[in-house]
Amino acid sequence: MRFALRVLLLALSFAIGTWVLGWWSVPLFAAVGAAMARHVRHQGIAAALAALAAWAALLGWSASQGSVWSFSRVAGGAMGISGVTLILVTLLFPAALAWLATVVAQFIAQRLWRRTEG
Amino acid sequence: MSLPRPLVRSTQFAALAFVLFLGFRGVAPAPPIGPFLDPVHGVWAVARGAELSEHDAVSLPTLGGDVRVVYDTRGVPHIFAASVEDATRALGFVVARDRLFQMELATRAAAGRLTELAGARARRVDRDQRSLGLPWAAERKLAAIDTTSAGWRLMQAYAEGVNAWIDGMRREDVALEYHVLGVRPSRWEPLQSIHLLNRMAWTLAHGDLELRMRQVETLVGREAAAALFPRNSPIQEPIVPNGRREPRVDLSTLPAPRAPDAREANVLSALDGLRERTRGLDGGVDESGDALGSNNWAVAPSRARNGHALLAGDPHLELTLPSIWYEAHLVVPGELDVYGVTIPGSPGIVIGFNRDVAWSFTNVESDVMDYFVEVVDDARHPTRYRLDGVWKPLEPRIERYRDARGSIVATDTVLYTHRGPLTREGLLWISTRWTAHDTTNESDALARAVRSRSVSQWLDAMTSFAVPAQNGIVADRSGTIAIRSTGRFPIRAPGARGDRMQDGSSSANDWRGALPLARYPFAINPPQGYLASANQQPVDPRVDSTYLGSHWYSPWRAMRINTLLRGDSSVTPEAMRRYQTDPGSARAEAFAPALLAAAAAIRGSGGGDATLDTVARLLGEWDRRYTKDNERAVLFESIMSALQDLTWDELARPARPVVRNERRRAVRGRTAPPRVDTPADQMLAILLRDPSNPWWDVRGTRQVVERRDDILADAMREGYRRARERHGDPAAGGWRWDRVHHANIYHLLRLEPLSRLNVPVQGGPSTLSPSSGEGRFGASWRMVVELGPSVRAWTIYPGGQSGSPASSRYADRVARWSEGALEEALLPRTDAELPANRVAARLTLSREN
Repeated sequence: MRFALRVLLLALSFAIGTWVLGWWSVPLFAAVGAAMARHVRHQGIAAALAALAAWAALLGWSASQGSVWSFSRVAGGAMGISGVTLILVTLLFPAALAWLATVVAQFIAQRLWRRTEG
Repeated sequence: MSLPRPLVRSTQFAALAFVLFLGFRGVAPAPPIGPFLDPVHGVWAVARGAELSEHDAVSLPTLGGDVRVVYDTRGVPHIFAASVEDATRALGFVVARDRLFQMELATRAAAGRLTELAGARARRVDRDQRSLGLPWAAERKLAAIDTTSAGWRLMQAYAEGVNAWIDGMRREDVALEYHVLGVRPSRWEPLQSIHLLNRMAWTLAHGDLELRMRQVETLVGREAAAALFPRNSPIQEPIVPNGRREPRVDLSTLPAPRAPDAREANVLSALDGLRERTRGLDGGVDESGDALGSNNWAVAPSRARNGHALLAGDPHLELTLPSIWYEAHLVVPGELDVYGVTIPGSPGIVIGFNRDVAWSFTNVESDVMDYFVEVVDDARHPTRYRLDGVWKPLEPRIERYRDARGSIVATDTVLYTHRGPLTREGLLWISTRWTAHDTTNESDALARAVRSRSVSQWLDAMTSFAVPAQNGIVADRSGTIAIRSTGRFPIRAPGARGDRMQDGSSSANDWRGALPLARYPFAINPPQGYLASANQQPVDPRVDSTYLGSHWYSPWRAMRINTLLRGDSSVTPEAMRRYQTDPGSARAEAFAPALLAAAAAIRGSGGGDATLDTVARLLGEWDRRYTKDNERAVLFESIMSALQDLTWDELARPARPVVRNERRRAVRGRTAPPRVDTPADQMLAILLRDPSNPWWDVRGTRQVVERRDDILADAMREGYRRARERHGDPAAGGWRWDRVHHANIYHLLRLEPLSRLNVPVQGGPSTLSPSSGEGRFGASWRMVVELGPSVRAWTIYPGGQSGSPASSRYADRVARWSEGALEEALLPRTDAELPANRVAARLTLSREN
């Protein structure tokens, strides 16, 4: 339950961050969240799922304004990939960013914390 | 087994750095993927902005008054404004809304600034463009422009409209291509409109006649070269009627080819580079010119069923998505009510009609570009050139190439003589004199032409139109029809020929001015009751021998139009539409009987065989039409290709010798030796009348002297072999014309998923809707106008109004265009006049928020 809540809160922050600031808010917010939860297990997975869910929701919103599915074929075609691949890449990119930023930030935060305590 | 923790940590650090790098910088040619994939601000936003909103209101502070724009269900904006300037501002706005990337790409290409969009891979193209002097010429035109002229005012108003769109762009308005290239739109300046017209000049008024002639001369001698690429068409069906009811054929004999001059072998390769650069957009197209071309014609009320003047036009250009044209309607009560197509980036309608007058263009194909061989002081790094015995300084112009951030990534120096840019080709230094470099203002002429109320007013307005020279056909509501080849036609020194390279060391060889208007090819209300042009030689040299150009397109299309119009004394708009994609071919009528006769003659002399009999039977079954379901046109085209290879073997590049022991082997195989050039098919038609002309003899067969019928029969056998090899057995269905021949409409960046390829079309080489083998060229716009008490018009182009591939308006007209259909243009006088069920969207542009 607490894991799900964490994912939800992170997803909300990623979605708002992306909307207001842009894509780079995903690793930034993930790193901040990781620093705050430096000892929480599976924080990286939570962040990855949250980022994926946040961008999926934003894509869904785009779909409600226009035809995302047919557009994915066009835009994917322009990049030399299929539409499905483009959607997958769009969802996996923030997930990878959030997971990596989280695990790296957790590691740094733990080292810094130990050094401060030491 | 688990990995050591330090290794895992290092990998995680490296992976994060890599993903961040991809996000911020990307890996060329892919853009930075962070901003690209961002579902709010990135490429996905394009999906949200692909369609027009039902109602939009935008502030445009420079407007004099409010402008209402109503988009009809075909996506055509009808612009209602209180002044022409406001209408033009709105035009800039709506065109940029639909086509901004196209505008930017075209003008950057013309300015030699593609590097700023596409990076280093575009630098060679930019360098070529700058070495032709086009950016230099555009800046000269801008500096010389009359700032009180209508053309300049409209260029400025247009730029204001474009920039209003750019300034107000939301993230979903940024075109897909900008996302793909990872760049942002830049602001629009009037200079870009000049660049755009220069690009049209490059497309339509470049020329390499003298380079081609010089190369052919090295292979077959001067006399033969001059005869193969003559100053006058041997088949005359001129634009200005010459009083005949059928084409006039010149029965002169082609002189024999001379042996190649080995001493001049370097000339061939030396001129290749310059030819490549001057080739323009039609590079790669069948050089004989039979596979492309534009048409226009007008019918007087006396020959029209409804008793009103009719006009049709279909300019043939490269087919692209989005299309080169954008359809629009501009209304300024009491001043302007014009409908037609504009070139995105050009501040007005180029081809179209108003309530009184309709007009269209075909290219004159005149010779307005000459090359001068210069004497310079240093063969590698010249600073001076010799003119009349005196050394003159070369003017250097530093060309700077920038990247997307504006940083200079390379520099270059282009040298200029008093004639134009100087380029080095092998051992030669060649300067170019070209009308496109002159300080002309075509926008001004077009701006006045759209407001004309009669043919005479339109002709007056177009007087100053200089480049590219156009056959402007025009008709008005009073029933007058006229055509004039309008443009700047240079007057050369006595004895100088535009199709020969000139000696640059003497100013006596310089141009002496331009032909006066009174000597332009012109016809008005001819007794025959119609006028037509199809890029053929404008005037029969027996009527007026003034030099306008040479190596003219074969007049097959002109002959076909004239046949159709002569045979129809009760022409309707529907017939005009049908003619535009008429499948008949004057070329086929000229060659097919000759081929069949040759086969019969060979059979009669005992030289026949089963293959020849089969080919003759199949060809005899052909109705000489290029309909989509036709199964014999393929064979004819294959035979014609083989016939060119066999007949013009003397023009093959010596680097790949054609000398073989047996003539059938000379063309057997997928690729015949490439020719330096290919004479127009009308030269082949002339040759048909001379059965023992030495051109029929194949150089590679030294033991035998071939005659016409031998070559025609061999071409039939070889054409049949190639057709079977490529398309299978004739009875297997693979020979259907629409399976073999297509239009290929490529996206501007040649992205195939955004293109429409293999579009079936009716018509073939030299029909009224011709197309090249690659199918990249075709009717870029088709229009039929009836000038009755109230004007009626039908139009189409292969594409759609929107430049966004995500839009339903991106390629919505392609299918109808492919069928040869036209769509009725809606012509409301006010925004309220457009029926509600034909309104797709509304836009209000106002001074205030």
